[in-house]
Amino acid sequence: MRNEFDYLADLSKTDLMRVTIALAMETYALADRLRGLEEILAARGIDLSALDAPADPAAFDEARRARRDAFAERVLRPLLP
Amino acid sequence: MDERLSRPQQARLDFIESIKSLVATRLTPQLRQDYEVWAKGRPEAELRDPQVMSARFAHDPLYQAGRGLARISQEAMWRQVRAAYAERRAEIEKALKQPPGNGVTLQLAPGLPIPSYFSETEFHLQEGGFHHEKMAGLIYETGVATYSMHRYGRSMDEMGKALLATLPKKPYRRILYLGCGPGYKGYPIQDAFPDAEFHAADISEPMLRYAAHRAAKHGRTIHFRQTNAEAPDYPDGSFDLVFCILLLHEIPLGAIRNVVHAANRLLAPGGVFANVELPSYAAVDPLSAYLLDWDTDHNGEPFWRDYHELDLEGLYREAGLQDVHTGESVGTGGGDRRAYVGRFRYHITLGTKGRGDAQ
Repeated sequence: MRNEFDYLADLSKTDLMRVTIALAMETYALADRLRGLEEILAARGIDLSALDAPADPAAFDEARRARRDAFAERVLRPLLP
Repeated sequence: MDERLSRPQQARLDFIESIKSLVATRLTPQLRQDYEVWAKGRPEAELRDPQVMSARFAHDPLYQAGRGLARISQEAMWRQVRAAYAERRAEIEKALKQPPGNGVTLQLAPGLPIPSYFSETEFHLQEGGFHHEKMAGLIYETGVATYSMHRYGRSMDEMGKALLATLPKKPYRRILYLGCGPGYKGYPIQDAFPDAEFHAADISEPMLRYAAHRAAKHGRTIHFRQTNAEAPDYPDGSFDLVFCILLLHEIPLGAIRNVVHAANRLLAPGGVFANVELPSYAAVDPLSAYLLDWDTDHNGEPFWRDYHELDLEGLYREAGLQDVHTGESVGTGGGDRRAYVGRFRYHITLGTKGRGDAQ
């Protein structure tokens, strides 16, 4: 699968780093919030195994799809017109 | 065999789909707007010259961002699908080795020569391709849902419906789906002719094993056979409908020619051969053709360009088919949702075997 073509050869490395930092920030904030939530729920004796249960694609769930698209746009904003 | 993904696994694919959606809805429309300003007044022949287009776009940051994200998201998608099934690999492979049951038959051909254009191509960048990866069918179906941004519909059978919409109305009694892959694209044809004997052929053992189990699970009586579509192992005149969907752009020109000739051989007099694909380059605007052509070199589609520049109708006629024509059917998926621009346009090329033309 790998090839050596540099698809982003002329793109601003600064913009790409902005994307990376935005993504890392979102990931950290999400992980921190999730950890906090799980601690609260566990303390109340709630079973969290349903979080890993099979799920439908977001494409068929309007609310999840909107959240997903907003997230992707927030992360990739430096590359968008 | 439980092929469902957990919510975290699905979430990763959802995110990748969102990147593809951003390319389609934000980057490409802006690129098109820039293109239209630049293209105004230029002759079409110039706009259809890849060198001219490349000189305009290759160093355009918008183009690079779009193509870069297209490639990176495609790699990430297949990597994620494989990773999702990796821990269940032993269980899945064991299930696929069992007879499909439920009236479905599967005839494999151990020792069948596999051409290198098939065994060594990682179609659409799917790692292991369709020959070396034993879970190829399952990985393909899961990945393609994301790849197509779910525009094929929930049941993924939109192309079969497109074919049905253009097919001459005849009481088909024996039907062959050539290059069936996981099989589901042909389900609408089987549904439309419930009394017909429905056969499906592919060269890929992993695809056929998956297709057979999928058909059994869905209660569909289909007879699967491993054979090369260039020289299908069925008697002359066996079928009154032979069709293929997105097969021909995955094989080289010589193989396409062999498939069309073979289809003619397999048809009974009056039988129909139908091929479903995306439109040729000539049938779309120059920017679309240029963007589509990118797949040839960068998206695991080595034969894409040759197919989309081919005179397929001429090839049908050369093979002896009559009443050759190409119809269009527009898909229904995606167009009603904000994030999904463009419904797929399918081109269906049809030909009929002459009545006095038995071979």
